[in-house]
Amino acid sequence: MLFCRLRQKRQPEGLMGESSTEPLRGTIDLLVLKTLTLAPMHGWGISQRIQQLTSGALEVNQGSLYPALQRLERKDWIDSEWHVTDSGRRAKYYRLTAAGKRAAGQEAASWRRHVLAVEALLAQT
Amino acid sequence: MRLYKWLGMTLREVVHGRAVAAEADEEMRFHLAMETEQNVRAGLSAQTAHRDALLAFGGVLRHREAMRDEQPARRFEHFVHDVRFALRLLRRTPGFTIAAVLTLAVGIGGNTAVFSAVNGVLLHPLPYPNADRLVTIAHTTKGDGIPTNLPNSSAMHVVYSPAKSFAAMALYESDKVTLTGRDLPERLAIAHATQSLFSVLGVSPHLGRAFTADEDQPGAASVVLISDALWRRRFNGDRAILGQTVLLDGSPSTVVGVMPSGFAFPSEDVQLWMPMRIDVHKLEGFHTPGIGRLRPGVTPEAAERELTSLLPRVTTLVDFLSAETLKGAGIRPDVHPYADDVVPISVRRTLWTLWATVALVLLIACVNVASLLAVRAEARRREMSLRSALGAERRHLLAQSITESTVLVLLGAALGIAFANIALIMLRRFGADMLPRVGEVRMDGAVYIVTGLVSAGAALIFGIATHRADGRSLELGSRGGTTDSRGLRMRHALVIAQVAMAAMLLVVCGLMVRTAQNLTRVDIGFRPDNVLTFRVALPEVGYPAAADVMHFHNAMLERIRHLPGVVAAGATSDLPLSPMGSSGDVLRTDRVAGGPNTLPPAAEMRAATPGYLEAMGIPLRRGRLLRDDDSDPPSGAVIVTDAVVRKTMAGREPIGARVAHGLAGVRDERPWSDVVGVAGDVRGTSLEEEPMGAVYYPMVNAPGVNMEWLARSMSYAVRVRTEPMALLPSIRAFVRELDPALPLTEARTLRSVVDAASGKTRFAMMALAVAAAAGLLLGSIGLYGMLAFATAQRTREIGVRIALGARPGAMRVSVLRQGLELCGVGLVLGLVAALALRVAIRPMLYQVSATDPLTFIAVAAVLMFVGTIAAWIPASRAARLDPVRALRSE
Repeated sequence: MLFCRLRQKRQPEGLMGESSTEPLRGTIDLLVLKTLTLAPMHGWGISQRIQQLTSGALEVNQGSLYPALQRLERKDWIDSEWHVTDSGRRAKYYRLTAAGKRAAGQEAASWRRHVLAVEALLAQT
Repeated sequence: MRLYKWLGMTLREVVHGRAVAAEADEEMRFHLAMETEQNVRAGLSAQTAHRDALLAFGGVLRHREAMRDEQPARRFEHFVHDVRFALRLLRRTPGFTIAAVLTLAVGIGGNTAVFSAVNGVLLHPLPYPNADRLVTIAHTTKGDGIPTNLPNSSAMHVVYSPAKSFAAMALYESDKVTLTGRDLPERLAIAHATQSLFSVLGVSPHLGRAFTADEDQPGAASVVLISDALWRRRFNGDRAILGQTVLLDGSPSTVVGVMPSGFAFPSEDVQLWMPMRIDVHKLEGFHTPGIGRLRPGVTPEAAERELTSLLPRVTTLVDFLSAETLKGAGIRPDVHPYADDVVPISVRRTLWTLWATVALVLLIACVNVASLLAVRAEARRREMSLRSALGAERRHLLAQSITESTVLVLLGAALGIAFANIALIMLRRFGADMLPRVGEVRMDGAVYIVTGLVSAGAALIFGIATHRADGRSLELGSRGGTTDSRGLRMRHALVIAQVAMAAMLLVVCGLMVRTAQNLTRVDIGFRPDNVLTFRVALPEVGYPAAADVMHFHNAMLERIRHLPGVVAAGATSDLPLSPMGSSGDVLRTDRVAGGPNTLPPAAEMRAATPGYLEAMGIPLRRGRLLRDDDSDPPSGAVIVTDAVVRKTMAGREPIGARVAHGLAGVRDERPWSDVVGVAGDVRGTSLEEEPMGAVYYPMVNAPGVNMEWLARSMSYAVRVRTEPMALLPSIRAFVRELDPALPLTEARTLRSVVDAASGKTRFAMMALAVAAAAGLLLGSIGLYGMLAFATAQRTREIGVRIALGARPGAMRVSVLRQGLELCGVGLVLGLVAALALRVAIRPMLYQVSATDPLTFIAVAAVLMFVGTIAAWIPASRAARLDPVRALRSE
């Protein structure tokens, strides 16, 4: 029976000192996709770039990147390959697939709609 | 593309789980190393840099867990874990496990076996293309004047040919012939059919060709089609059989084709098919069944209306049938699905009833297991509370409950399917006489699907029921003093349902037992013990004249009568209780004046030698028996039966009355026969059917009646003092002595003929009895279990009451009353339901009312008895209860 654990439940919050700026799960996916539209990158690089691009406003708990990467790869939105870095280390590089590029656009659009809706709601009250 | 990726990753995770984990580790190590390096570059000490990197990462272990949890393989691991846990649990309580699995196996097995039969016999279409368009064309009459299958073979051929409702129509007739040739002579079933039969059925020979229209003309050269089985057995499957000549009853026929294997029309035993060669200029005969293929979209009712409008044309073709006669006799066409004839309505009813019965047994079984699970859930309260307190999620506990009950149901289903297979093997071996199309009963996809659905439904319900019980116990905590009322109500409802279902089962079974009893008490009209019967058929080649036939039978009987131990011996054209028994024909007597527009009542026409009635033990009521000198020269003497006297003589003296058979008799074209004696009636075709009445003609030479065609194939009856079958070798030797080319067939005791006739009822009764016994057993176990448990639940309450001064006797009464109340309510509901079902049950009964008070009272008594015992044991336990221990107990 595969419905034993239909979906892994949310981890209890606040154990490792996450702040309220910890992004939602879907947001991580969007951030990763967006980051990878620039160039293929390894996990650490992605986390660095997210921090740079958001000026640290969204403090991604770096480790939570990896379940997200696995999830996206399973959806065939990204692909991975092991390469040797400039510093001579082995690292797993991720790049967007064609489906991933399309998804990045759609996710961004839906995020914008979402933000606008929340914004409109906040403006009302 | 996406699916491939998903599958590829999942497959890799399953197969190379360790490598995947190692990769993830390496990836995270790389991340930490880079972060540490960056921190060092920012000026931190090596140690601090590493610590900060770890902090920013947020726990390597935690993220690795998260990754693993998102892998589908991981969910499978949970499932395996749950299954293992369930198996461990079941092993730990073997009593519970065995009880539950056996109960489920009985319920599921019974359902699977009976559904296989329903599926094979009722639901599978007949093995012809578009079989739903095949209809039987028969005729019915008002009253019992004429046998019901009355299509006038040749007249129907002509009269109905313009009918537009049919794509094709055919007539057929069953008979037996003796095949002689290279091997031993063999008696085989044959069908004579019009050439259109094969286009009606939509089947053609797999070798050779079907009949041509020319071959179906009177006087055409004789051709024959043979069955695949006969071709392989007798002709070694040699293709050169086509065009060869075979001898049937001594006359040559050319084999033109071999029918495909499995083709069995109109019955399983038919091996040969010949053209009927109807002479449309000589219209007569009243015994030929017809089969038609409806055009698409035409209903049998519409076809019947069209034939009804065509029927009056017959009066212009057949001079002796006037419009008034048709109307007076109420003759009208009857068109109904052919499938109804293959599987008679009685068998359909039996099978549906049986299925309903085993469904009830399954329900009882499910209720039983549900109550067992509920009881166990109570016992596991502590465990559940503990696990819940330790943070187990309810969702996971539900998943586990469902897994547990699934494992239980799967074990039960596996065992049940094994049971069903055994039952089906037995049914195929012993059930051929009892059930039509029994060869098509097997466990196929549909059967497994139904079994699977039933099992899945049961598992889900059990899982949820157990979980709800678990959930309640979570809320109640570990020290619930009394049970909550919801659980109590549910258990009470289960007890009532169980008793009600058992009551319904027992009523049906009881009525079937009464039916079987009545059938064994039916006066069959003869004494079946110590009688040997067999059949000898004489072909026209070798026995061309009536005198030859008579000479052979007389010689046989003469020898048999001289065997030691033989009391009496005789022969007849048709034994009683044989489905192929002679059909009747109208009988005119001089005791009543028949109106011009009415057909007189019908009576069977039988040939009998002297000694036959004595050998069978058929009583002679009045007058004398037939003698040897009645045959040669013909004296015109006949014996009639009670029913003939009752139906045709209007209370006048039968001895000396004159009778004439058939339409020829009605039209005064046949000399009268003189009634010299009156014999008792016998059941002609089945136990249930009232005797039609018969006229016994002396073999061969009755004046004006050509008995030769009947006397050519005679069944012998030999009454002996000892074991009947012991005589057979001597009798076989006699037949060989007289004619080595003659087969002796259908050798068996008269008792086995009677047993075969009661086969269908016995099958239904046996199956229902087994189902009812299983239902009663499961029901009583369940009842006892529930009452015992309910009493155990009241232990504290009873303890308190005893401590406060209640007398033990009062406690016993209280528990007993509770049990009997539940039992009584269930019983009343069950009996009311059985009353409501009477319409469905009635057609299966014989001489017993569907509301038979005796049965209902007996069922009530049995169930109340079982209920009393089931309640008495826990009641006595309650009375013996030690209050101190009771209060301490959980």
